[in-house]
Amino acid sequence: MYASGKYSSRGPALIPRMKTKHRIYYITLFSVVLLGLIATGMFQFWPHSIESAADWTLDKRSVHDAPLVRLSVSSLIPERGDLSCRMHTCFDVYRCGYNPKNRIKVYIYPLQKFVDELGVPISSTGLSREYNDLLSAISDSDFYTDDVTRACLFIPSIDVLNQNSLRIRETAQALAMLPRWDKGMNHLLFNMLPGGPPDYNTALDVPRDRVLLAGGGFSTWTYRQGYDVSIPVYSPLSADVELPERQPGASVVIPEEKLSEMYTILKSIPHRQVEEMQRQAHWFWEAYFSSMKAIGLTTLQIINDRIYPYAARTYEQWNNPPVVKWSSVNSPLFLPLIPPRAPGFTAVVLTYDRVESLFRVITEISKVPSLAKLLVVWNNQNKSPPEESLWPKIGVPLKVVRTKENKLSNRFFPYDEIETEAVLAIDDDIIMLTSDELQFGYEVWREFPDRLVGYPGRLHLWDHEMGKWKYESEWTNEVSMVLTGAAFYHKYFSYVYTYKMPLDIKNWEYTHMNCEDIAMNFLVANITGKAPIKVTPRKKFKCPECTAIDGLSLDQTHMVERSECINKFASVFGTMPLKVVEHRADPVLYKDDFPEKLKSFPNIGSL
Amino acid sequence: MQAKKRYLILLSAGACLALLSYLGGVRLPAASRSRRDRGRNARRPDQPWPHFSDPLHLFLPSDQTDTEEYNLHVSPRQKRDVNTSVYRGRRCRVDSCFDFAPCQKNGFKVYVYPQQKGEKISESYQNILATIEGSRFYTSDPGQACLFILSLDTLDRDQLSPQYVHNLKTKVQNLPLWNDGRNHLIFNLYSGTWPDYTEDLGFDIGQAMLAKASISTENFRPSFDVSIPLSGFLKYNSIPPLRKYALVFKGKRYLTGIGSDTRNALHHVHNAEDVVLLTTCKHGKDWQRHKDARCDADNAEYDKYDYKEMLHNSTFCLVPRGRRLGSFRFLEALQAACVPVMLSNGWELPFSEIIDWNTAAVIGDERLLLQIPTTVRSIHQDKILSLRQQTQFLWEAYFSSVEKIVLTTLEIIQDRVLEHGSRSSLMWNSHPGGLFALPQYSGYLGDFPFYYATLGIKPYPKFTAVIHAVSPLVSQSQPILKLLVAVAKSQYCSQIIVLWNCDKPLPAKHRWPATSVPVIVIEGENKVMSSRFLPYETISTDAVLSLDEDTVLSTTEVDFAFTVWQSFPERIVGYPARSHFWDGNKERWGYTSKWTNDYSMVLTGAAIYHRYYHHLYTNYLPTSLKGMVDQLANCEDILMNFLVSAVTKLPPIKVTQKKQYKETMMGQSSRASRWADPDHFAQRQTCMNKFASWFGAMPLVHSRMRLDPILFKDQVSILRKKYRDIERL
Repeated sequence: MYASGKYSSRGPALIPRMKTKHRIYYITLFSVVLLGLIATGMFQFWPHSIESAADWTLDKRSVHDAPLVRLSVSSLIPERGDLSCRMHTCFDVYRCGYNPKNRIKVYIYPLQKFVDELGVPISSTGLSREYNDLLSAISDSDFYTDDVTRACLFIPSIDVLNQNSLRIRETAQALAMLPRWDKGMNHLLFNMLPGGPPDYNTALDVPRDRVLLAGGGFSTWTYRQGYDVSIPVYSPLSADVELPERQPGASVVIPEEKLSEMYTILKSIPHRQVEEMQRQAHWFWEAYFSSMKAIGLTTLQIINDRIYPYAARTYEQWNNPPVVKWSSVNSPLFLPLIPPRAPGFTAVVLTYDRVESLFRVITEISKVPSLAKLLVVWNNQNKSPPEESLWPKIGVPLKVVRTKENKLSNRFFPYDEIETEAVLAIDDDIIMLTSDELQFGYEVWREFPDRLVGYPGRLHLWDHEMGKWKYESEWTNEVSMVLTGAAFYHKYFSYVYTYKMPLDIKNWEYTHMNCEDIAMNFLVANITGKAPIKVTPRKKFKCPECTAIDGLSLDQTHMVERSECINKFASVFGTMPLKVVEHRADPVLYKDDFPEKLKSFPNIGSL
Repeated sequence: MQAKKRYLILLSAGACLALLSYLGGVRLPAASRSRRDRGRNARRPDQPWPHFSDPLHLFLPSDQTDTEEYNLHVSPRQKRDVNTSVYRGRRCRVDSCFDFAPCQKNGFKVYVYPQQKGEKISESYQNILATIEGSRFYTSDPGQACLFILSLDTLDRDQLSPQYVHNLKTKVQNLPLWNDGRNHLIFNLYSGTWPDYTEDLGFDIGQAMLAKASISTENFRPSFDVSIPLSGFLKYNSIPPLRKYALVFKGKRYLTGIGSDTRNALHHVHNAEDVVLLTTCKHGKDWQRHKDARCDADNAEYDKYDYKEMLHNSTFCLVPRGRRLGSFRFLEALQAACVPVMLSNGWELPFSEIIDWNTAAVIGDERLLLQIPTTVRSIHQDKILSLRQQTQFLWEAYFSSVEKIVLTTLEIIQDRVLEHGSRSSLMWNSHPGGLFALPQYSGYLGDFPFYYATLGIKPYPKFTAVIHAVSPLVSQSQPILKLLVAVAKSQYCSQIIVLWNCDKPLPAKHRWPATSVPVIVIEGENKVMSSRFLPYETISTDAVLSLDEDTVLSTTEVDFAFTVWQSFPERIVGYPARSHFWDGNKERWGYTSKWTNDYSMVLTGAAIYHRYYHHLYTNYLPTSLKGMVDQLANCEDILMNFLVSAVTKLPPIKVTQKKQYKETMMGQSSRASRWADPDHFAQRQTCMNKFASWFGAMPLVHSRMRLDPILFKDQVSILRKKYRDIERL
C-alpha cells in the first residue's frame, strides 16, 4: 500500500517537468506503438482471417478465376438415378481395395465454371458458402488425396445442395463431363433440398447414373438402404423422412396418423429418459450435424464403414457421448458363461531358488482334483532347475519354463503351455492352502470367470489427512483387492497384463520389485468394472503366529511402498478403478451343523 | 535528468517497435508457406480445395427458406397415396400399408386363421403356428387382432418341392379377412426354383408383410419386411481365441447358373492348411454331364474332411451364397461359434433391422474373395474374442429355436407399430437381448437391471420392501409386525408396502407400528398369488425386498443382503435357498429343500431383486403359468426363479448361513401355514416340470457358494465386525 502510494505521488511529478510539446509528442508515439501492437495481436489470434487475407493478397484466388467449360446442347445426359443401386451393384470396391489403414481415399475435382452455349451458368448461385466449407473440410481431413488414380471416392465440385438453384439438364450434362465420371461410379453428391414444383420429389431430380447420394429429406422409398447416406436438413419433421442415420436414443418418431395422440405419447416418456434424450440429441448435434464439416466427415466415415465393415465403428461408438464412454465399462468376457468343470485349471508357480519349498507346494497342489497341469516359472537366470528325476512325481503334466529376466510380472505371462481358461497363480511358499480350499476357489472362479478370485483380501482407503490413497491389510469388513500369492483368473487377463498394461506401471513394478499383484487388481477392475472375489476366511499366507500380515511386509517401509503403488497406479489409470465390497464366498454348508463327510468342502482351512 | 528520461522513453518505444516487427515476422513463415503451397499447386494441377476469397452465396437463398410454403404443396400422405396406387405392394412401408387403429385399441394381438380341413401343413409351419398360439400375443378373436397369420403353409414356394401348396392364389383371395393382405404377415423360407431362383412367391401377397429367408436388399422393404434365418455351442472363451483352422467352407459347387461364380472361385483361396475351402460337384442327377476338369480332384479333397469337425475347429467360417442368397451355413456357423464371413452380396441379413451384424460376422464382398484370407488374418484377437461371444449371444437370443425366430419377428413388428416405445439397438444387441427387455416397461436403459455398467451408473441405493400378508392381524406379537419394525430400521429402506391378500378387511391404520419410513397398505387384486409380483407404481426404487408375512429377518441381515445385491443387480439375492435335480427314475425334475452343497433357487419369502422382474413376471409369462400359480396358491417363488435364471443364465445368490427363516419352521407357531400342508411339496414338484416344459429347457443353474460378510465367524473380536448380529443364528 505504502509503496504504491509513493509511486503514484511520483508519477504526476514527472510529467509536469516535461514540456507540453514533448508530452504530446510522446503520447502520440505511444498510442501509435500501442495501436500497432494491438492490431498485430489481433492478427495473431485470428489465424483464419490472416490466412484468407494472405490468400486474397498473395494468391488473388477467386471462384471467378475457375476455368470456364462450355456445354454443348447435345452433350451427354446421364441416366436417372437407379433405385436398385446397392454397394455391391453400383460401387466399384476394387478402387478401394485392401488397405492396412482401412481408410477410403477421396478426391475432389478442381473447381470449374460450367456454362451453356449461350454462356448462361448452370446454377444461379454457383459455389455456395456451405458447399465450399464442406469441400474445404474434406480436403483438410485424412480422407483426402490429390492423386486421382489412388482415389476410391470422387466428389464433384459442382454444388447441388439446393436443387432449386440448378438447371437440371445442364447440371446433369456437366456431371457427365467429369473426367472420371464412368456412369457416376464411386461419385458422391451432397444434396440438402431435393425436388421442385410441382411434385417435390424426395431425392435430387438431376439425372446422375449411379451416384451415391448424401441427401436430406429422403423418403423411405427413395432412400437406398446401405447405399445412400441420410444427412440432416432444417425442415419440419414428417412421417416419411428417413432420419439421419439411426438414432433412436435422441428423437421420437411419431407416424402422421398418430398426430392427434402426440401429446399423450410424448407425456408417456419418463422424465429420466427425456433428460437422457436431450443430452444425447445435443451431443449428436455437436458431434455430427453442427457444421458442414461435421456433416461431410460423418458422411465419409459412414461410407468408409461400409467398405471396411470389419473395421467399422460400433453402434455405441457412434451413439455414446464421451462422458458415458469414460464411466461405462463393457467386460470383454461379456457372455454369461459358467465354464464346465472338466478342463480344470493350470497352476503357475513362480520360483527363484527355494527348491525344497517349491517341491512341497507342487506335492500339495497335485492333490487338488481339478488341477490339469502344473507350470513352474523358473525365474533364476544364474541357476538351472533341478534335474528331472528329482522332481516330485505327480498325476498331471509338469512343465518348467525358464525366463530371460528375473521379473515378478513373469508369473502373468500368457505361456502357450497354459491350455485352460483358468489359471492359478501361486507362490513357491504357499503351502498352507488345503486341497478343499483350492478346489473351492476354482469352483467360485467358474461362477465368476471374469474376476480375480483369491484368498487374503486387501483394501485401499482414502487418507483424509494426507490427501492420498493408503494400502490397508488390517482386519477390515471390506475388500477391494486379493493377493495373487494364490489367485485364480482367466488367461485373457495374462494377455492384457503382458501386452496392454501401461508401460509406466510395468516399469514401476520392475524397479520396485513389488506391487505386481496390485497392478493385476487394478487392471482387471479397470477392464471389467467389477470387484474381485475373496474366498474362505484366509487372511494371511505366511507366519500364522505373526501379527503383521504379509510375510515380506513385516516392515513398515514395505507397507508405505504398497500405498505408493496404489497412488501411482491410480494416477496412471487416471481414475481409481478398484471396487469395494463387503462379501466373501464360502461353501454353502460352511460352519453348518452338518456331518462333515457329507460336505463337499469340509476342510476349508483357517485364518 | 530530462535527457535521461527521454532516452528511457525512446528506448522503450524502440523496444515496442522491435516487438512489433518481431510479431509481424511471425506472419512471414505463414506467408511463405502459402507461397510454397502455391509452388506445389503449380507443379500439380490437382490441389487441395483452395480457400476462396469470394463472398459466396448460401445454398438456400433467403426467399426459399420459407419451408412452410415449400412443403405445403403436397402432403406426404397425398404423395404416399399416389405412390401406393402406382406401386402397390412393392413400395409398402408400415405407415402406408398397415392399419394402426386395431393395434392402438387392443394392443399388439395376433390372430391365426383356423386350419382348414384337408389342408396339409408342414411340421415347420405347425411349429410356427403353435408358437404364436402359445405366446402372450395370441388372440382367438379376429376383431381384436392387429396382425393376421395365415393357416395356409407358405414356407416352401418352390414349385418342384413336395411341400408346395397349389392354388394358393385363389385360396388366399377367398379368405374373408384378407383385405388385400393388410396387417397380414406371411412366413416364407424358399421361393422361386431352378434356374433363376426368383423371390416371387407365386401368389399376390398384396399389402402383406413378408417374413422371409434370403431376401435380397433390392426386394427388401425396409421397416416392413422381416428377414428371417433358415432354421450354443460355446462353453468357454479359450485364449488365444484362435482355432485349428482360420477359415473353412464345405459345400456344393454349382458348375453353371446363378450363384456359381463365387463357389467356382473358392479353390483359388484354399491352401489345405489353415484355409480349407472344399467343394463337390456331386449333386443333382446329371452332374457327370456338367463336370469340369477340376471336379475329380475337388471331390477327392472334399471327402477328406469332416464338416462338423471343421465347423467346430475353425475361427472363421465362409458363408458364400448358394443358389439362393441365404444359406443354412450361416446359422450353423453361428451356432458353432465360428465367426461367419459373409460372401453373399445383397443378402438382407436375418433381422438386419435390429441386429448389428458387424459385431458378430465379417461382411465380405463377393468381388473381393481373394482378399478374404488377408482380411480375416488381420482381425485382432480381442475382436475375435468379442465376435465369437456375440455369435453365441445372438444364436441363443434369437435363432436357437423356431419359437425364438417367430417371437423375434413379432417383436420387431410390434416395435414398429408402437414406434415411440421401441427397443434401442443396445437392447437388441447386448445380453439378455430384445426378447427379455420389454420397452413397454421403460424407454430409459437405466431403469433396467442389465445396462448399469454400459451406462456407467449404479442402481438407486435404497429398496422398497413388499410384504405379502395373508392372515388377519389379531395379535401385536404377530411375526409380520416384528418384521415390519426390523425392515423399517434398515438404513437402505425407502418404504414398505404391505400387500393385503387376506380375506379379512384391512386393519385400522393405528394397528400398524409407527416406523420412520412410509408404510403403504395395498389391497390385493383378486387376492391371488401372482399379485405379489405386480409392477405396482408405488415401487419407486430399483430394488424390491420381497417378504412373506412370517419371515424372520433382522435389520443387519436386510442391510447385508442389500449391499450384496448392489453388486449383482440382475440376480435374486436372498436367504432361503432350494435346489432342483434330475430324478432319473421318474424321468422328471425334482425339488428339494434339504440341506445340500449347492442350490439353484432363492425363495422370494426373503429376497432382493430388481423391480423390472415384476414387470417381466406380469407381462412376459403366459397366462397358463400364472394361472397355475394362482390356482394352487403356490410355486410363485419357483416361477420367479425360473424367469430370472432364464434371463440371466446365472444362479441366484444365497447370503449367509441362515436357513430357517420362518416362524412355522422353527416350531414356534401352531398356526396353519401353507408350508405345513403336505400337498404343498408335491405341488412344487409338479410346478417345476410344468415350468421347465414351457421354458423349453431347465433354466435353473446351480451354485456351490454363498456370500458371507468378510469377517463372518472369524476368530477376531466381535467389535471389529460390521455385521455382528448375522452370526447369531
